[in-house]
Amino acid sequence: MKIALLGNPNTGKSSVFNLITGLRQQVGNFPGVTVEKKTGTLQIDGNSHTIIDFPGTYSLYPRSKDEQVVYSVLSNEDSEDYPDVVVVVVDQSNLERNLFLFSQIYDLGLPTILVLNMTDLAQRNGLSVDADKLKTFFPAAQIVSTNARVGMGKERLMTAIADMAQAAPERRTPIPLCPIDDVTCQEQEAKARYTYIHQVIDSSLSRVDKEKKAAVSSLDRLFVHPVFGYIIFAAILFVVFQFIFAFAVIPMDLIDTGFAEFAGWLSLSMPNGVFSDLICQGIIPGIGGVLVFVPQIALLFFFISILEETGYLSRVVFIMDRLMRPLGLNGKSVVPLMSSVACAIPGVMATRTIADWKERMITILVAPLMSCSARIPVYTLLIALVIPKTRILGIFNLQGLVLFGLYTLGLVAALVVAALLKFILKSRDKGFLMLELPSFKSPRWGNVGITVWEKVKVFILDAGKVILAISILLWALATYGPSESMKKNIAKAKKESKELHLSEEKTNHRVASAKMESSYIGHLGHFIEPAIQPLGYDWKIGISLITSFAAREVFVGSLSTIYAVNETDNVNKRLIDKMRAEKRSDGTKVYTLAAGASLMVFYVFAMQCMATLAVVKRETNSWKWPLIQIGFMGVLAYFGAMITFHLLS
Amino acid sequence: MSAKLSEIKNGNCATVTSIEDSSIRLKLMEMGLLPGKSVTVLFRAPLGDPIAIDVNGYILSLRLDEAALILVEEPSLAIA
Amino acid sequence: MQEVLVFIAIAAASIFLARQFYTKFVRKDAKCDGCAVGKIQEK
Repeated sequence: MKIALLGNPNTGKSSVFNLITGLRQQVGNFPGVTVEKKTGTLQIDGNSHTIIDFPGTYSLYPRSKDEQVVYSVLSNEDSEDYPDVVVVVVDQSNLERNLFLFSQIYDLGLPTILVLNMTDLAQRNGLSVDADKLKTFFPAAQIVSTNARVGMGKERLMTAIADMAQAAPERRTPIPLCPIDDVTCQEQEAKARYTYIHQVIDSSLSRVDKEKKAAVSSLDRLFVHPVFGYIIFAAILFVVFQFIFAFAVIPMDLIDTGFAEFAGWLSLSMPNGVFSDLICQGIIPGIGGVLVFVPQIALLFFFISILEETGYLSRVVFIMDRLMRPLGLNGKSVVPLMSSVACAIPGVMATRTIADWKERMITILVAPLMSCSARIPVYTLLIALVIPKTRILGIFNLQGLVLFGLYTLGLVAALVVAALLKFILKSRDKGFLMLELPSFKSPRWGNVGITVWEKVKVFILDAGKVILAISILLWALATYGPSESMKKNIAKAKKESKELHLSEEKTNHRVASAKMESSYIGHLGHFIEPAIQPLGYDWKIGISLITSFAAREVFVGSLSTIYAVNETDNVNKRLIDKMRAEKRSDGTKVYTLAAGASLMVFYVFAMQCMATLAVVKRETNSWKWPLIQIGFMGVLAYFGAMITFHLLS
Repeated sequence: MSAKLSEIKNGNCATVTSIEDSSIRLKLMEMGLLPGKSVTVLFRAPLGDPIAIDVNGYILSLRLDEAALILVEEPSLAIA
Repeated sequence: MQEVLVFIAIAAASIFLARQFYTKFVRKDAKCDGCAVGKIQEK
C-alpha cells in the first residue's frame, strides 16, 4: 500500500515521518524532477507499506519547484507515486490555514487520515480542537491526534493506517482540481474553501481566552533587533565556524592517517606491481580524500539543522532578505550559501525552496564561490608554505587571518557576482518572500540526526563515486605516458641517483617523480606552462591545477607525487620542506609569497568540481548554466591570480 | 478609510478589504488573507522591510511591496 | 595479471564517468512528472 504524507511546512510532518519509519527511510528522486523523494517503510501486521514524505506545501497549487511535485503526483492517477491512502499532518495551533490544504486533499476522494499534530503548542496557546465536531464536516476522514515531537500518538496513527489498509474504503467522487494555470478558478476556490473552513472553525475550535492580543515574543524582539539581531547571527556563524574547524580536525586527522597507514601497509603486503600501485596510490587516497570531509560536513549540517528545527533560521532569512535583494538574491538564499561552506552540492539542492527563477538561478551560480571543505587542504598547505607564523598586533595569528581572509574573499566574490548577474539575467516574475515564521521550539534530536545522516549520505554517494572514478583515471594519466620519453627520463633519474650515491628509497622517489613528469599529465602540465606563467606557476604546479580541476581534493596528493614525497610519511611537513626548496632554472624560488598567494586566490575562485557541475546541470535542467559557471569562475580565477601575483612580486 | 497593509504601524491591527491583482494574490489568499480577515502588524525587519504580521494563529512575513498590495481598513476610533 | 586488473579498473572508471556525463549532462529527461508543470510556470 502506498501512503502519501502531506501537510503545510512547519507542522512537524517530518517528525511524524521519522516517528513511524524510524531509520527505515531513504532519499531518492521523483522521476524526471530534481526534488528529493523521501520514502520509508512501515510494518503493519506483518505487511510492509511504503510511505512517501512529500515536500510541505500550503496549497495543492504550487508556487515553487518542490511544491510542483505534490500537484503533479496528486493530479494524475497514473502517476508512479499516486497514493492509496493520504495522511495529512495539521498544526492544531494554526488550524484555519492548515485546513485549506486538508480540504483540498480530502476532496481528492482518497482514503484520508487527518493528523492533528502539535497538541502541546495548541494547549500552550489556549486552543483546543473538538475532533468529533471536526469529523462532521469531513465524515470520511479518520482523525488522530498526536504530538510527534515527543513521540506521542504513534500507536494511534499506526492503528488508523492499519484500519484503512484493512477496510479499503471506496474512492469517493473527487472534486476536480483547477487547471494549473487558471488563476481565476484557483482564487474562487480559495474564497469558497475558506468560507467553508470558517464554519468548521466556528464549530470545532475553542479558545480559552478569546481576546488574546497578538504579542511579539521576547526572542523575536531579540532576533530581529536592528543591532543585536545581526550581532547574534554573526556570533553564531563565528562559533559554528570555530567549532567545525576545531572539532572536525580530530576525526579528520584520524581518517587521514588511518588511510595513509592502510595504504602503506597494503603496499607492503601486496605483491609489487601496477595494480597494487593503483590501489595504494589511486583508489585508497581517492576514497580517503572523500571520507575525510565527512566530519566537517556532518558538523555543519548538524548546526544548520538545529537552527532550522528551533525556528531561528527563518528569522535569519527575515533580517537578511532586505540585504540580499539588491544583490539579486532572496533572504532564503542564506541557507544554500551557508551549506555551501561544507559542500556546494547540498547547497545547490537547497535552493529548491526559492520560488523565483532568477533569485534561485543566481544563488545556484554563486554558491560554489563560498569556500567549501575541499579547498581547506589547499588553503592550509599554501598558508603553511608561504605565510609566516607571526602575530599581528600581538593577538591575531597571521595564518589564521589569511585563512579567514580567503573565506571572506569567496563570500565577497559571491555577493559581487550575484549583483552583476542581477543586471545581466532577465527577470521572469517578480520575486517574493511570503515566509512563515514558525514558533520557537526546542529541536527534536531525532530529526537532526536523521537529517545529518541523509546529507552525509548524499555527499558520500553523489560526490564520492565521481571522485573515486576520477582518482583512478588521474592515477592512470599520471602513471602512463609516451613510452619513449618515459624510458629516457627514468634512466636519467636512475643515473643521477647513482652519481649522487642516494639510498634506494630516495632513488625510488626520484624515479617516481621522473615517471610523473613524463606521463600524460606531465606532458599536459608542460603544455599549459606558458599560459600559467603570468600567474607565477611552473609546469609542476600546472599538473596539480589540471588534476584538481576534476576534484579539488586531489590537489595535495598530486603535489606529493610530483615532489616525490612518500604518502605514508608526515606528508604535509615533508611536502612543505620540499616545496620550499624548489628552485626555478634561474635559481629563484618557485614558491614565493606572490606565487603562493596567487595559487590561493586561484583556488578561491576556480570551479573545480565535476560533481557540483553535475548537480547544477540537474537542478537547472540545462548544460548552459554549468558552462557559464565554469566560464565566469575560470575568468575570475585566472585574472584574480594574475593580479595577485603581480601585486605581490 | 482604506490603507495599504504596508502603511500600518507596529502593534496595530487592520481588516483586509481586498488584494490588488498580481502574481501573488492567489498565494496570499491561500495563506488566509481574505476580505474580512483581521491581521495585526507585529514587527519589522531592521530596514523596515520585510514586515511580520499575525494572521490569526501564525506569523507571516511579507516584503513591503507584497504588503502594499493588500488593502486594509483600520478599525475606526470612536470619537469620545 | 596485475596489468589486466589495472586495465579493468581504468575501463570501469571510464565507463562509469562516461555514463555519468551522459545522464547528467546530455540526455534530456524523458519521464518528467513535474516538468510540464515547470514549463507552464516558466513561460
